[in-house]
Amino acid sequence: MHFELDLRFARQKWELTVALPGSNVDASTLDALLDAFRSEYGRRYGEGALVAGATVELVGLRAIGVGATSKPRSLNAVRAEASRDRTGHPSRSRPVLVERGGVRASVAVHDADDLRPGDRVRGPALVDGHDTTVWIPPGATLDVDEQRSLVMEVV
Amino acid sequence: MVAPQQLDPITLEVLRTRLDAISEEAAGAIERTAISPVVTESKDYSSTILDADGNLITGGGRIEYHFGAAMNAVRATIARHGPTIAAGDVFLANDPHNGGGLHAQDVMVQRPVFVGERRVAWVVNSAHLMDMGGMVMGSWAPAATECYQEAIRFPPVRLFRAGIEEVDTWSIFRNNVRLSALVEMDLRALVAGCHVADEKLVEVVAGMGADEFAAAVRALCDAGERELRRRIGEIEDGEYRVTTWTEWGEELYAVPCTLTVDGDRFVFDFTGASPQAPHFFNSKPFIIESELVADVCSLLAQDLPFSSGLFRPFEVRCPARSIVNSEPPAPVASAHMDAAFCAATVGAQCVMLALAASPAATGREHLSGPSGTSALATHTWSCMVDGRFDGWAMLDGCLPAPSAGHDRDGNDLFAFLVGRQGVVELIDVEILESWYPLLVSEKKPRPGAFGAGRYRSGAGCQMSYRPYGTDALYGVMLAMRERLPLVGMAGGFPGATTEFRIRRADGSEELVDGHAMNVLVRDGDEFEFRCASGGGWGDPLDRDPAAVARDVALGRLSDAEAEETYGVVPDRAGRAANSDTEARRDGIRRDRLARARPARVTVDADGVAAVSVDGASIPLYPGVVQRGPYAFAEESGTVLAIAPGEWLDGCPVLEQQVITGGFRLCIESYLDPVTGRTLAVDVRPAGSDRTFTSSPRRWSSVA
Repeated sequence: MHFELDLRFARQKWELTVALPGSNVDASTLDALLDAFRSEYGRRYGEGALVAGATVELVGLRAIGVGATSKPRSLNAVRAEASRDRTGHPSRSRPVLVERGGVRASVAVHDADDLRPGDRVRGPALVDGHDTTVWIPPGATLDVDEQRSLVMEVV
Repeated sequence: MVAPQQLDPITLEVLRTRLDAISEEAAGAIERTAISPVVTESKDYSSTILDADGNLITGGGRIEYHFGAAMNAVRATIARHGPTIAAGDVFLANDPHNGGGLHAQDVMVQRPVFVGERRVAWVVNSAHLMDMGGMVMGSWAPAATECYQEAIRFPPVRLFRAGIEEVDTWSIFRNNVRLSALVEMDLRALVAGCHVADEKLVEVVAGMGADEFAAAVRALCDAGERELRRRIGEIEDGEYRVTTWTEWGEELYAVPCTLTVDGDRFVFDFTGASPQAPHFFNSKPFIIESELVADVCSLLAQDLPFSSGLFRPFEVRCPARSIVNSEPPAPVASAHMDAAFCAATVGAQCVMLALAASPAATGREHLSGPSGTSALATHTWSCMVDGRFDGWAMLDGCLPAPSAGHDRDGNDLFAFLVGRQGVVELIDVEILESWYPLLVSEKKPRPGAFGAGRYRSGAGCQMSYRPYGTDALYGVMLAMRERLPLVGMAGGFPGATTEFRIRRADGSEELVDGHAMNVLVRDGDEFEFRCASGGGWGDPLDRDPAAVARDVALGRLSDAEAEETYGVVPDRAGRAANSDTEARRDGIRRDRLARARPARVTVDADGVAAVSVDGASIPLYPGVVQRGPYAFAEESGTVLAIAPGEWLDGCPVLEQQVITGGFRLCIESYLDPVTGRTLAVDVRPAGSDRTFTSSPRRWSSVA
C-alpha cells in the first residue's frame, strides 16, 4: 500500500501528483512534499514558472494497493479453425504507391470482417477495417488470433 | 541552404503537425498553470511559434488574433535587443505602441529558441491579464485620455536573462498591478508555456538540422501563400467598399474600408478613418492586420494552416494618426476591440461583396452578413470581499451573435458563423460563482425580432446576476454597438444593439450607459446585459412559416413580432403556413411599395428584352444578376441599372428612422420594384451616405 497526493497552487484547476514517502504525514513530510511538488512543477514547466511563496492546495489523497487479482476470462474467444492462408484470396485489390518515387502497384485488400481466427495474410497487402486501414509491408506476416486481433510480424 | 525539392510533402506535413502539437502542448501548459477564469474558462490566451526572424509558423490556443500580433512583438524585440538576445532570455512587452499586444492587458511573453549558438525560432505566449495597473481595475478606463493613464507600459524588456530571473522587472510589475499575486500566477503560466514549447522545439530542430528546419518552414509558409493567392485569383477584380462607425456615446468615428481585388492580392485601404481620439479605442496597423487577416482567412482559407504565408497577399493601408493608426499619447486599452473589430468586420464584408459577385470563387459557401465581433458588451467589476480587494472582467459579455448565412440561421452565444474559434468561450456558471461574489439568475440566448430575415441572425448572450457575498460591485462598461446595429445581407434586417440595465432592489429599472464608470450595483440589485447580434439574410417575409412558429414556441419571438416582422398569422389549428399568412405577406409587400420613395434612376427598358433572354447571368449581389451591361433583379426580371450605374439606384427605397436621444438611425430597404421584396437593407446614422458599394471590374468597365 502506498499513497499519492494531488497538489496544485491555490486556485489552479489542474493538479500534479506527488508520491508520499511512507504512510505518515507530519510537518517534515509536508515540507518534503512541497519540495517534491515544486521540483516536479519546475521540471515540467521550468523554474521560471514557480511563484515564490505561493500557497499550495492539497486536493486529493489516494491510497494505492497492489495485489494479485483473479484474471477475467474472455467469453467471446473463438477457437482458431484450421489455419488458412488467405494470401492470394483477397476481397479486392487497389493501386498503392508502395515505394516512394515508384509507380502504383495493384495490392491485395482484405476486409477485416472476412478474416477469421487462424487466418494468415502475407504482405504486401491491406486490411480494411471499419475504423482503420492496416498496411502489411512486403515480407511481413499478419495472423488473426482468437480475439480477432490482428498480430503482425514485421521482418 | 537546403533546396526545396529535397523536402518532400510528407516530411513537411509531419513537421507541420509536430509544430501544431507543440503549440497546443504549450497552450495546454498555460491553461494548466494559469488561475484566472479569463484564461482557464474564457480561453483568452494563445501560444504562437515563429521562425528566427519572427515570421508566424503556427499557433495554438484560442485567440488567433494574437498570432499576427506575435510577429509584431518579435520584430520589435529584435529591433531593440538584436545582438544581445541569448538562449534562456524571456521578454515581456505589453504596450501596443511599443512592441506589445492587442491591448496593454494582452501581454506578450517571448522566448527565443536556440540550438547551440543559433537562434532557430521564437515562442510567443499571450493571455489577457486581469489588471495591468492604471486608473481603474482591469485597465480599461473610459475616462483615460492618454495611454499614460491606462496601464503600466512595458516596451520589450527581459523577464529572464540567460535563464536567470530579472528580479527588477518582476518587482516593477508587481508594484504596478492590482491583485498582483493573482496576476503574477497568470504571467508565470505564459512563462511555463514558453518553457514547454522551447524544450520540444529544440528536440525537433536539433533532430532535423537548423538549415533543414528553416527551409521546411519557408516551404510550408510558401505553400499557404500560393494556395491563398490562387483562391484570391478566383475573385472578381474590382473595388468593394463598406463603412461603419465605432461609437462613443452619441459620437461616431468612421471606419471606412475600400477593398481592391487585384489579381492574386488584396489591398484594404482605410483612408477616411477618423483622426485618433482621446478615447481608449485607438488602434494600430499591426492589430488591424492581425484581426483582418484572421477573419478573412476564416472565409477563404479555413482549411489552410494559418501561417505568415497567408499574410503576404494582404496589403493593409491605415492613414497616419487615425483611429486605425494612432501614436502616443493616444489611449489604446481597447486597441483590439472597438475600431479594430469594426475595421476587420468591414474588411470581411468587402470580401463578402466580392464573393457575392464571383460565381467561381472558393468561399462562396460561407456567404453571410458580418460576424458579431464588433458588438461586444464587455464590462469589468471590482469589489471588497472579506476586507480584501477583488476584481475581474466579465468576458461572457463577449458573446454576441453573428449574422445569418445564405443557407442558415446565425448561431447563438458565439460571435462567428464561420470560423475556427470564437472570440472567447462561455464561462461555466458554477466556476464563475465559485470565483467571484455573484449569483447568476439567468443566462440564455436573447429573445427578440432582431436580425430578421429569410434566415435570421443568432442570439447574443442575455445574462443577469446579483452581488453575493459582497455589499456592492463597482463596474466599468465597455459597450460596442449601443446605437448602430450590424447590417444583414441580401435583404435581411439589422441586428440587436447592446444593452446594460440594473433592476434596483426597490423595483425600479434603469438603463446603464455603455461607457459608464463607477456603476454601482448594491446587494439586492440585479445587473443584466444583453449582447448584440448581426443581421438577417434575405427578406423576412420569405422565412419558412414553420421556422417562425418554432421561434415563437421557443420564446424567441412573440406572436405580435411573428406577425409584424414575418407576416405569420397562425390559423385555428396553430399552423403557420396558411392562406392568411400568404395574404398578410402579400399585403406587407404591397404596402412597402406604396410607401417607398421612387428609385433614384429609372432605366429605359427599351431594347433590354433581347439581352435579358440571350445574355448569360452572372451574380452581382444575392438576388441581383448582371447580363451584359444590365443589372437585373433576379426574381422579377426588372432592369435596375445600366453599367457602370449602381443597381441600388434602380430600387424603390423604404426609409425608416429610429430616434433615440439625440441619435437618429436610418434603415433603408431597397426593394424589387415589382415584387416589393427587400433586395438589400442598409443601416446608418441619418445624414450619412449609403454604407456599401460593390464595383466588380466586370461591371464598372463593361463596354
